[in-house]
Amino acid sequence: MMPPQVLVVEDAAANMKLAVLLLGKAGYSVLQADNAMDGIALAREHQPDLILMDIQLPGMDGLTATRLLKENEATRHIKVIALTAFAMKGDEEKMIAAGCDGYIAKPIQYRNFLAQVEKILGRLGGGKETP
Amino acid sequence: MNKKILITDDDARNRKLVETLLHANGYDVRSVASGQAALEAIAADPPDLILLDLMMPGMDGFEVVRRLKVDPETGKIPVIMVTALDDEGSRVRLAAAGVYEVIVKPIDRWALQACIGRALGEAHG
Repeated sequence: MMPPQVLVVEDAAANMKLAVLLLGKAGYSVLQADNAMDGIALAREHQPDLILMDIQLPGMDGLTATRLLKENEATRHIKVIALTAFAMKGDEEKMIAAGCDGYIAKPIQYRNFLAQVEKILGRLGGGKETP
Repeated sequence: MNKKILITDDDARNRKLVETLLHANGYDVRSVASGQAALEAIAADPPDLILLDLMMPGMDGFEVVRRLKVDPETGKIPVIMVTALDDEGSRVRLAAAGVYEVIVKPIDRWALQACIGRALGEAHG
């Protein structure tokens, strides 16, 4: 079976490296984009199982990108998890309004991060078995 | 049998604090004050989990992990790294070295307990 594919859209190099490292070790296939426009293009082209979307991106921000993905027939079905350093109450509402399926607070906790990814992919039936 | 946890921290107060907490949780706790002492203690009696301070004089936590991972036997023991230094660069470095999780000081006891439970429970809950 093909491993689930995860697209990471993140402009901070260290965060990207960490996400790619953790996802790779866990057996996922990983796509990378360091800005929203490239992220959207990769999502259309590759149809990943999940997108991890940094909220604070230069140029188009992650919430706008998520809204565009969710408005488009071709990408609407792809799950999006927001990566955010500021998980305040109002922000959560904004992320839900934009169409995010969940969020992960930064800094990334290794196990928590992987557990969230597994949880959402498990629900899709493509991920590794969850208890 | 109670699970064995080895605490490694050069700060006596931190050691005592974590030792008391984990002892109260029913773990069999030992503690040492340096990276070198940790390696010796692990070789003499391998614990089920290692709590390791990153910044220690002499051999630091990163070097301890590097040496543990060389040996497949000690490499299997989950290591939780405790650090006051929270930058993305060290998170990448520690993940690459095979650290189970990073916990940032000051230690949140609930987060620590949850993390230890998960590391020891394994086989995925």
